[in-house]
Amino acid sequence: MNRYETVCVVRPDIAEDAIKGIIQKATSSLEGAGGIIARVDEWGRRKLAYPIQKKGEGYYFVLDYTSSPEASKEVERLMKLNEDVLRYQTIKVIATKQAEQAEKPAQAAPAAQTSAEGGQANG
Amino acid sequence: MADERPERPIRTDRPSRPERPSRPGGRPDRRPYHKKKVCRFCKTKGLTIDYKDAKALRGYVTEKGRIVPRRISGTCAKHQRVVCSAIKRARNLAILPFTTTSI
Repeated sequence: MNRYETVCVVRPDIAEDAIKGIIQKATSSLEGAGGIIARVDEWGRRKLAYPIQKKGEGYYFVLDYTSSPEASKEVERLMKLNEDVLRYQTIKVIATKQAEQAEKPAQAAPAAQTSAEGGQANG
Repeated sequence: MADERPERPIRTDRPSRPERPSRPGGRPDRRPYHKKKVCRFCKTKGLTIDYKDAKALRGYVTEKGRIVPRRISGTCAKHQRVVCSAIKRARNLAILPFTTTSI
């Protein structure tokens, strides 16, 4: 099981339900393969930095999940087959010391924070 | 050690420039003073580089969309690699432009 992050850009001119359907399809596929979805972050419509398929805007969403490599491959395959998906990119999130530090204060109580600081190395 | 050496200014031979007045001490012109740049990611703990954060990455890209070199931004080698890959990831997702001329 690895932690992955998939960002997906969908055509903005399709129906809201269709976008929801794409997200639904991806999440259900992941859950079916034993993945755990941590977060689905919908950015909504955003201007693209350059036109893709003659479109200036895109609907962005981020899937943050833990799954087997095969399950994330399957999500990528689903997006590849869908013509409404302009771009997708999956990144394996490697837990760095810096990232852990950033997360810890948000989750743990201040008391736990001091113990975490004792073992931190400068990275 | 090598990092502490001041950066050499870019010297191009400009023909229009008059010859430098020779000083009595025979000392050449002093180099312009450079403040030592510190890597922002080393200095600030907890500052992470995220390819999804277009606003933060804008500072490491020129107006034309090129990646700002280390000698300008002052980023250390380690963090420059991370910034570089983050910019490239962001470009793939149209978060950052490859170039501005395409628009």
